[in-house]
Amino acid sequence: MVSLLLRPLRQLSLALVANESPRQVAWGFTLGMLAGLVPKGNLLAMVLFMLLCALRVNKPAGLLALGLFSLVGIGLDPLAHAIGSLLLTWEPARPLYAWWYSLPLAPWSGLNNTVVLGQLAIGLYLAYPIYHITTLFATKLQPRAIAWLQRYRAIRWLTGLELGARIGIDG
Amino acid sequence: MKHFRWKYVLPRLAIVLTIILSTYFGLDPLLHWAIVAGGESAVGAKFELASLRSSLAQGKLELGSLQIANPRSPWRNLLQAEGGLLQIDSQALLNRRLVISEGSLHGLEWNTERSTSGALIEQNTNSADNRDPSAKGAPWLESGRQMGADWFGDVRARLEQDLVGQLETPRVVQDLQDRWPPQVAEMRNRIDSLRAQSEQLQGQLKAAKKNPLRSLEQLQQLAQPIQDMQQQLLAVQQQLNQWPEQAKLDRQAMEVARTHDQQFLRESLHVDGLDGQQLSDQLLGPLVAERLQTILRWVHTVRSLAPNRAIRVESDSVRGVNVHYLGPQPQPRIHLRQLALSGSVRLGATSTDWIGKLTDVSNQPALLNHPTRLHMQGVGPMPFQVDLSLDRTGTLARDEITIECPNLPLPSSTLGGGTLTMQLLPGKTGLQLHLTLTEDQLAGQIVLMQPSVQIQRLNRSTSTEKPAMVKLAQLVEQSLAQIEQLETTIKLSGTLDQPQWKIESNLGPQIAQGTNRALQQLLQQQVIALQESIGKQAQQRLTQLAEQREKAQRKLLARLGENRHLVEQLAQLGGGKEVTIPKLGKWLDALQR
Repeated sequence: MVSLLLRPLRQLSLALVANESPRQVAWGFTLGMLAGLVPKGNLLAMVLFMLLCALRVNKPAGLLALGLFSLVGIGLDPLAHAIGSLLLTWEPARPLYAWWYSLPLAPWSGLNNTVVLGQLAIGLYLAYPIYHITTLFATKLQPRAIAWLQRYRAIRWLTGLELGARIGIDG
Repeated sequence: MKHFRWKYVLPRLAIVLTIILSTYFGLDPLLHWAIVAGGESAVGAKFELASLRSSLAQGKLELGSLQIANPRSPWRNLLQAEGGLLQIDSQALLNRRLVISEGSLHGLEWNTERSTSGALIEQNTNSADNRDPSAKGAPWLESGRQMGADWFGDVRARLEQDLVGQLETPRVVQDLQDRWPPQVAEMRNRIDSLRAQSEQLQGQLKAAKKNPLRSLEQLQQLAQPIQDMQQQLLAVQQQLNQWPEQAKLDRQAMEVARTHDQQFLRESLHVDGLDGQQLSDQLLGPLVAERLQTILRWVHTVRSLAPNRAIRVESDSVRGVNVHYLGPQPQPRIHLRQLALSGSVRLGATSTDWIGKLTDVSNQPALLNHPTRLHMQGVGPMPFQVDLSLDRTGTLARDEITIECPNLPLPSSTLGGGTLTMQLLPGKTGLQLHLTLTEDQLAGQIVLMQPSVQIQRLNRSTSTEKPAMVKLAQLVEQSLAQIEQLETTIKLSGTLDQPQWKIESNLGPQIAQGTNRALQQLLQQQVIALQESIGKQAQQRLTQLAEQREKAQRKLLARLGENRHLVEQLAQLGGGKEVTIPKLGKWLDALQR
């Protein structure tokens, strides 16, 4: 029970001090950013979330980004709507959209929604910069951050709890 | 594959598989619940589906018996079916659309009775259905019923009016009768008075006889009254002699009165003929209102079930706008392409089978290029054809209904009201109905052609009726019996809530023609009989009067003759201004004799 309650904190500490590669952290954060920006309730958001969970990426970093960019995404809705409208009404792309929309399950993706497509476009546009920045952060700052954080007993305790939970020792 | 966290993926896959299997095996109850809940929500009354079997692989839905209650009449079904089969396009389901490519419903019947109430517990009393144009007390319906007012009132008043009281001849005869007895009595009184005076003079003369010489002066004084009396006698005689002349004048007055009466009776023959068009309105108005009420009730029900044009653009997303980019025309979420129908319908006392086809039903009809169409065709001994089109593809909602039934059985119907209520006996009629509704604007016409028709009066004449009314009623019945065919065209306009109609029928003109002819004949007979009766009576009375007058004249002249003789004798005595002794002697001798 305690483990369940402390799980978010454990995940956060693990996201900061886990011994995963910077690329995994960057991918996780980027996927989380994409899943966070895209409005929920459609197949695209579900697929992005499933990818975040199913791929060997830093999930805590991804969840952190998901929560963060869900809030940011609401603020970006007007911009996303404008971009989505522009893309969806772009005449040369109409046959492509028509083809896409005719595919099975494609209408469930929500890509015909201006905000969904707009947020996806924004997310894709930001994906590389975010990935790059996160990689840099994970490469250069993570070791120092780990060393700094490991000095705190609470972090060590939370990290130990998470590791214990992974090998089946539940608090 | 090393990039996947299989420890995470595999349990989720297992869960998804479980959900799919559960859905596969538990789909039928789920669909049953969804269809019943959706149906009840759409109709506003109980939607009962006995059973449902689905086949995901084949995309088939097999429906058991179905009953949809009428929200306005919970103890009747709006529709019921024995069962059906629906073919669902599974490809369209993956495209987030429910498309029923084809299907069938058999054993369809409507307006059947229910054993239990079909009302839902929660009913929205403010629903749009409350705008039912057939609601009792609707002003247009009341006006239709009012059309059956007593149109026979004017004719009755005309026939029952007191013509005799308005004639001159009886009045003149009465005047003569009233004038004659006092005239005779006055004359008799005058003669009696003269007789009394002459007797008095005679008495005075007798008294003078006893001593004539002494009464000489008195005798001289009596000469003047005798002369006066003589003149009065002459005047009375002259008056009596003028009586035949007076009789001539009276006869002339009678002739003038009779001429006047003939003119008056000729004028009374002129009756404003019954207006055939107005009569058609009055007779058929209530019946048309009732039938129209039924038709419009069904139109209203169908319209209330049809989706609103306002949901043309779907905006089910809270964030952003959904853009349909499947080709030039987006497709509706729910689309029933084609549904074969079969069932039976009760027309009058007989039930007939029919087959039909329903096409292009959708929750977003504006996204379709075609209107929703229903075609029904009778296959039994009673052929009929119904075509219904609900067009929501344009900017205006346009509905069209065409019904053709060459042998529609008609139950007995009551026409008109009041004194001359008529009954249209059961028969068969040809019906052609074409209605167009653009938004709420109604236009169209109903044509009824009844090649063989029988109409009879309902309110038979009672013993209290005047003979003229009874006779007229008989003549009207005769004219009704001569009506062989009935053609009625009802032109509709106005709105669905306030429909207006104009009836063009040969019923009114036929009855009006017969009635006018009968009324004219009757009035003519009545007037001729009256003229003869009055003339005969007047002549009789006049003859009686003349006889009485002659008799009285003879009697009075005889009495006057006696007086005259006496007065002449007196006058002989008083003929000169001076009475001499020899004159007196002679006169006294004469008086003595």
